[in-house]
Amino acid sequence: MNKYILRKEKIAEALKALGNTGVVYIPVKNKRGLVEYKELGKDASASDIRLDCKPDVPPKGILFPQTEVLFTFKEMGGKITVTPVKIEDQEKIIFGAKPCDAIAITLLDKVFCGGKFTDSYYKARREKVTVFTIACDGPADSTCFCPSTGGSPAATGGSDVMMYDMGDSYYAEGITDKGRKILEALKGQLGKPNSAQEKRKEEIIEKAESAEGFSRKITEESIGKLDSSFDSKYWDDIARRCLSCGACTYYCPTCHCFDINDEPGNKRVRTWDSCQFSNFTMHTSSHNPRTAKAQRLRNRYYHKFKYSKENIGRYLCVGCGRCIALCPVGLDITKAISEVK
Amino acid sequence: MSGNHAAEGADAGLVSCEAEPRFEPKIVAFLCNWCSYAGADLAGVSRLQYPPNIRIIRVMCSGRISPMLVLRALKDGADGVLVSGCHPGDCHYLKGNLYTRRNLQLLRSMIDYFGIEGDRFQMSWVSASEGGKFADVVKTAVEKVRKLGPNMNFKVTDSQDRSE
Amino acid sequence: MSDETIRAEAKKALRDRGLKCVIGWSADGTPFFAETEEDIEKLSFNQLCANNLVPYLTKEIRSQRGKTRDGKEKIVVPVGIVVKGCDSKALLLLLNENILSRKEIFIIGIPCTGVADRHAGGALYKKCVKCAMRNPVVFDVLASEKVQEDTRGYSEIEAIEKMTTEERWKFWKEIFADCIRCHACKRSCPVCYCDECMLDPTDIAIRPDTTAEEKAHRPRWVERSVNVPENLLYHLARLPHLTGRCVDCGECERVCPQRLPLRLLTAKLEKDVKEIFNYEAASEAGQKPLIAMSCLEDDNGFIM
Repeated sequence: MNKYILRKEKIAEALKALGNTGVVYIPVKNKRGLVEYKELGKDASASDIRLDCKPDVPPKGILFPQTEVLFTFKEMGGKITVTPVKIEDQEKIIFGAKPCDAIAITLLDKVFCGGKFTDSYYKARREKVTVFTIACDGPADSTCFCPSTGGSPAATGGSDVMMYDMGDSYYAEGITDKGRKILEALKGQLGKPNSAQEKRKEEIIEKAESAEGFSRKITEESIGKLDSSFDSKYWDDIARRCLSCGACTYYCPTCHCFDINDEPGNKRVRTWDSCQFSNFTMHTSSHNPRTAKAQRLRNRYYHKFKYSKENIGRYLCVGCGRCIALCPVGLDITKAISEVK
Repeated sequence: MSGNHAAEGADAGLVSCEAEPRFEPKIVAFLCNWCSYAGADLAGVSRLQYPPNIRIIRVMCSGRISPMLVLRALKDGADGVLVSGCHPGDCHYLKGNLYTRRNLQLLRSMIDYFGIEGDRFQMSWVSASEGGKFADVVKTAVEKVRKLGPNMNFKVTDSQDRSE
Repeated sequence: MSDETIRAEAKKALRDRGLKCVIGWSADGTPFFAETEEDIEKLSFNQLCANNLVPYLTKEIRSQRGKTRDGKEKIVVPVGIVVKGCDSKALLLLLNENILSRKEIFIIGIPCTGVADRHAGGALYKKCVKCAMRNPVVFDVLASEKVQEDTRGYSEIEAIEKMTTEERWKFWKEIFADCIRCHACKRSCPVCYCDECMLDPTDIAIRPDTTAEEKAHRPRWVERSVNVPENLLYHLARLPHLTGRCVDCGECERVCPQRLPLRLLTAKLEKDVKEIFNYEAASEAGQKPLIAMSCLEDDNGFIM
């Protein structure tokens, strides 16, 4: 038996119980009005939890922190000693992810663990993360477009536990073994769904899969046009107002590019990088194949929709719409690709 | 307290010859070549005592000191920064110190505004013949910074000690 | 109607002055580069037009400059721009600093009663509620009647100045913990036009013949690590570069994706510059930059 009901007034209790198994991250509104994931008990309390909206900041930083020390080193008398950092082995629970962000986690998995080489830092964290996702029944706001990217408001990819809003409670279902186990352990705070709640769950899934209410769309046809528009002047027009600020890449739940530098303090540090920064593709030889904003912006869109499909079989974009909401100059990936010439 | 003890203690951050360890601030001092550095030289030649907490960096003119140097020194762990140049009107390059006076006045106000104590950043005009003034300036700067305690806020704290 | 005037003047200038393009806004508030009369029909001005277009003007003009293969100066085709009051102040500053030349630009000024904050459901931006620069200070034509301006107040800055050092640190620490160093503030700033920026470790002006050794030896002032000290260094080091130059147009705060209250920095700078040096950026044409001037009579302040 894998289906439970968590009454909304018992969420705080359930979170406390989860807190005994690991660090719990919940979406809360910060001082500046942004909803982001914060550590329960340290930076947020259960009463602040916001499960009614799409968080402005994806949980990407929990698995792939913006700044990470890879190792430290010391040079003495010509000899170098490298001291590895302690591998993170703490259990983490992301409580209140959205389906788009959960799918994004599976895509990050493909990048960091799916190839010939495994990123041991990411993997160590990933193995200890449990994801509780709250399904949507339609777009969370006007920037959403997950159905266009192969996702859906109730998609279960990347989730260990899937939750559906029943109004006064959440229907919770274990999707993976990890999810089933953790729900089993929470049994004390959970009830069993009745037939009306089972029906409501099905209604939510049906409405989600109908993909109605999404004002933003990208069609396969438009994406297909990317093949022949690489050299088009269209990208110069689109990118003309881009500021190369990198906000889109930092908030994107699937963007994963990074830079590695040695920093004062004798440490080697990995940090997020953005393909929109002007020197992103600067070579050691001082040649930069992407000096123009248009080239960088085109590259980003192509990477999300063309190259990734060819390389890993899925669009890297999950349709969360954050790049649209945040762009200071109103660039819209759905519009840009839909109108590609 | 003799000079030698103080020198040892300053590097370790603590003075062990006294009953109670005392915080010894690390202060980076940017001195202009023509006046302040010469003044410091004169203090040394005249055997004038002053606290060894300052680490002197010689620059050709105080006008070379950009706010970035001051801020970077603080971020890298200095407890205080001292910038010293020629008296206004006496700059070897005519106006370098006047530019720096403009620039760094505002920097001090901004540092203070952010909750990094403004007293961590000191400036002085010391001429080549003012060995005594230099010693006094250093004493004042060190005491002011000592009162404030170690610079814990504006420092990357997970770094290894780089004094080795 | 201001839209009609903007379009008419833009078309006239396009024809008569042979403009390369007119930079303005579309009806949805996004920046738009109108190159033909047909394009110009799309130009509009309303409460959504928050972007300061001056950074685009700088790029359009500077990208045209240089020397031809025979060593002659390239001819710069003039560019048109629509500016609100705050935008025009930034433009005046760039003219004063000789970054742009007056004859290279055609300016359509539009007095503004405020633009809307898209995060606040369309309410006016905080900076617009009491604005002392609603009317453009430099323009070729004005697209509508001048409007009433307010006086500048610094109550928020004064509140922070009254805090103790510990309170101030606590206040700013929280803010800088949220900075993700995306550099949107720097990129949208109209007075930040350096090819190479000291504050961005990746933003180095590299030519195809720059050697690897030169690049390796380039000093790195701000590290790529994102933490409170580095973030503080970034913001605290950016301010001296804006001394006497920042016109407080508020773009930095508007574009910040983390919604940091960056105008608490720029307004403080403006207040200090006014109080200590009795100077206001872009207050008149031909004004000399504050920190490029030196004065024997400046106050010694805290200097020993």
